[in-house]
Amino acid sequence: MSNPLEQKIGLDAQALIPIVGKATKGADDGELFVENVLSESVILDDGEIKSTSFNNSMGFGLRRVVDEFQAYVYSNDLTKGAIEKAAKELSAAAPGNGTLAMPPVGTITPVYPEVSPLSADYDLPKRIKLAQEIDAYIRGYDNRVRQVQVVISANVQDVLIVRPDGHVATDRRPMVLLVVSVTMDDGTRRETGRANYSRRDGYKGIFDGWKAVADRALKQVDVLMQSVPCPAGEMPVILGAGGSGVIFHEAIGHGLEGDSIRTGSAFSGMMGKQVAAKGVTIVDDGTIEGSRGSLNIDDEGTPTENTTLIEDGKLVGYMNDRLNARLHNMKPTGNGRRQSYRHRPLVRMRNTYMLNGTENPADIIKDTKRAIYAVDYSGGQVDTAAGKFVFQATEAYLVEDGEIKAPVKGATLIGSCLDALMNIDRIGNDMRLEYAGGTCGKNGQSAPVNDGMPTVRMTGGIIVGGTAHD
Amino acid sequence: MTKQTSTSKDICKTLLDYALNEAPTGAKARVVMGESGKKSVGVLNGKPQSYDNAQTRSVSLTVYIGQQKASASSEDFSDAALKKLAHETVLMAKATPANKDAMLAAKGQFLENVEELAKPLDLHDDGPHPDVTELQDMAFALENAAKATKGVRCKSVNTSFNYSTTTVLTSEGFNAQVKSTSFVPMLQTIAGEGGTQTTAYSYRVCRHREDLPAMETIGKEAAEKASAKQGAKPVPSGKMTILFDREVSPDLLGMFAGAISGMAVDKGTSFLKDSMGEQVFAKGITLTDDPTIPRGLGSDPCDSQGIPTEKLDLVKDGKLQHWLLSLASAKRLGLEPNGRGDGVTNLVMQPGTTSRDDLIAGVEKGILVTGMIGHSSNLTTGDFSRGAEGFLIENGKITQPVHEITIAGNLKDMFLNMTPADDLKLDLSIAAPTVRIEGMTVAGK
Repeated sequence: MSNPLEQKIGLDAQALIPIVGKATKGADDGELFVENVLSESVILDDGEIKSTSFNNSMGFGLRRVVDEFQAYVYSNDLTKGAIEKAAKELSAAAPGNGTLAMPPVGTITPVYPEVSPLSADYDLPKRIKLAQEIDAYIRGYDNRVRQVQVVISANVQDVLIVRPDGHVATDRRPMVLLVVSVTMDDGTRRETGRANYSRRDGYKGIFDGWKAVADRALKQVDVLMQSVPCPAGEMPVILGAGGSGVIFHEAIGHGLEGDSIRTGSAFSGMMGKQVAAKGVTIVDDGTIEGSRGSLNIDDEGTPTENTTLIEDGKLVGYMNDRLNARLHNMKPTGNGRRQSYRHRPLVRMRNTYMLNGTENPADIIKDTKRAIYAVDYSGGQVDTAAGKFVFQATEAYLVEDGEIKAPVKGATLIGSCLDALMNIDRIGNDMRLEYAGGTCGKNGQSAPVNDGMPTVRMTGGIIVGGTAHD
Repeated sequence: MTKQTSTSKDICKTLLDYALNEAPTGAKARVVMGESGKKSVGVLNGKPQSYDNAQTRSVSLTVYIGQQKASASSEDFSDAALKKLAHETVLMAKATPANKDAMLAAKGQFLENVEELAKPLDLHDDGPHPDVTELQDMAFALENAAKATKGVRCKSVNTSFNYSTTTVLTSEGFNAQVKSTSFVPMLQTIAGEGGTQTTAYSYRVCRHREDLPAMETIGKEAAEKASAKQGAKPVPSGKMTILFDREVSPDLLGMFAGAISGMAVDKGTSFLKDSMGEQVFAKGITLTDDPTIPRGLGSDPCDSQGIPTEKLDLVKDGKLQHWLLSLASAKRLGLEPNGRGDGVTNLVMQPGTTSRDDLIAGVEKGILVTGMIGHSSNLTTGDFSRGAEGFLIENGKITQPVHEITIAGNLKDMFLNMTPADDLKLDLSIAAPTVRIEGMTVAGK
């Protein structure tokens, strides 16, 4: 019992295989997912340490899959008796006469250190001191600063996946997060800016690199303090490298998830067709070292990979978990993820980004008569079946006659999944991932992801939702 | 030895004792335990898609040493784990600097007899839990009703039953246990094919089984909504009158609730921070927050600190009357707490006197918004910008479905220029009638 989860249950994974076998007899697939998550955080707000906390969440989920029917029982009673009881209930809930699908294949290349960030090296007093230091730095930087909020948090998730065919997989997944939010007031107006940093790693990156995060938050709020009303209407948009990558996550990514394709996505039946301009290549990659969206294995035990979705504008791939891969007669791509043991796996993205083009980004701006240049964002959303997406720019500028002009107030941008990316006419060579990545929500489950892109120009197809109408 | 079979109250008492034993004399503590269960089924194309059955519980502990405070939670209920939880939380509290918001309701401040007072709220259906067959029959009825509308299919169909018990115990003597249930049928529908698909969803949340409407009503409603959107297109940009259907108008109230949070007001991060007693909504508008509605989704005799709640008119004749105050934010502002430490309870915008049809009839050019996408609204400045869909109104009549547009404005102006219709329906914890707002910016093409 070398694994901490085996120790919690008091049984070797080998001893659990027969129980999972009972639960999946006559099924097409299924597994036992056992999880333990330790997390801690320090929150500074309004000049004081507002909260220090520590959480331990643990439990198991047992799944039986018959054709497209998934039966799932979960509990945080981590005992042999509770798992056996769940197995019994499952075999009654979903009768079946199937053949068990093959276990996951592929090689695992670890993309994060197998350590817990919750180590004594950065104990609570050190983390409290850091939060106070960040607060003092920001308040000392600009006398317009009225409020500072700092969140320093970390977690380590241990998973154990046991299949009826004897396949056993484990993973230890670290994550750290720094959120800095700054409110400025100059007597006439008041704005709030935010910046994050997150990686699958220990606290060191936060302790070494917090100044850059604080500076980004300060810059954003400073820009917002000078912002003018944003134009309203359809107009060309230049998407800045990195931060705007969320547009691909929303406009393309969700619509290419295997479950969405199956139940009705705007992209259903479009395989092999041109869905983006030539030169556009978009991938979903689970294997980027330390990135927030990376995983060694997904939550069904499939090793992750770099999955190409769009190649030179053509739709070439979907993302699949095991169930959707089987129903599409395709290979699982390592995109079966769950928020916790309380959730069945869903097809989810990892790190989604667009590959580099060849152009100097400065030239793209120089050659543009009038556009909105969107640099940072606060989120997005999509209706995959209707094929409409939005993303919310929080740092954006007006470009006029080849020059970056006044910053504009935050605005929602809306477009149609099927034609927005056809309007890309210039692609920069400055691809980078976002500084932090974000958290994606789908069917009530959240998952850490990352996005990225080079500077890109779209000549149309995007409507900018400002208030300045001429 | 605390076993997995111990009751919530036993576990809370044990953990509280461990914490007080570990902590210095005079320390205070609060334990909250949540136990919940869920049964849920999904169906699609006449076949079962999913079945979920779950029972989970978790316990959290907050320790107060003077103004020093720390919290921890666990899903491990073994005696050793509870002891460790108490020990570590006390250590964390000792290491955490004093904080002016660290406070626990004292005897006299918190409500006694919470269980008795919760009874008339009737939040728990004492009937038998639904079995899989009952939930599946409900789900199939939803899907069949939706598919009866020509050209409509379902993207997902789910029915679920949830039950939970929350127990709170503090060193000061606050002691409460509230049980609740909910039945949730929901479905997503698609009309049309390929690039012209339109989607909609419908759902209900009811505390009691007998309050659920016929599944056929919900299924049909979702189908008709998706179908009515067929042929939608953007409209040219311009200043227009916007009607927010009662499916989306509660979103605006949610933003209002965020902006009157006592903490945001004290910290100066709300666009309404200087508006107490001022005209913030149009004259005639009343916003009531009522925690006493029987079977209400936000009903509660007290907030999580135990401070009693009562019915409040947050806005009367358009004038702002109350902040949402917790124990801590009330102290900061020099006011009495009003039991809103967890936010609003059941927030309702009282209906106006004009029918929705008459509101539409008075619009020369505008949009009836039935759906919004995205989350962009800035509570510091009140700036509002969202993706939207709905129907174009021309010369007082609905003429065509509209999508792929954005609507933008500032919440301050929007609230002041609001006219409510008379079609209020009390089905969710935040409810409002259809409202009309003049002079918003629509962006389209």
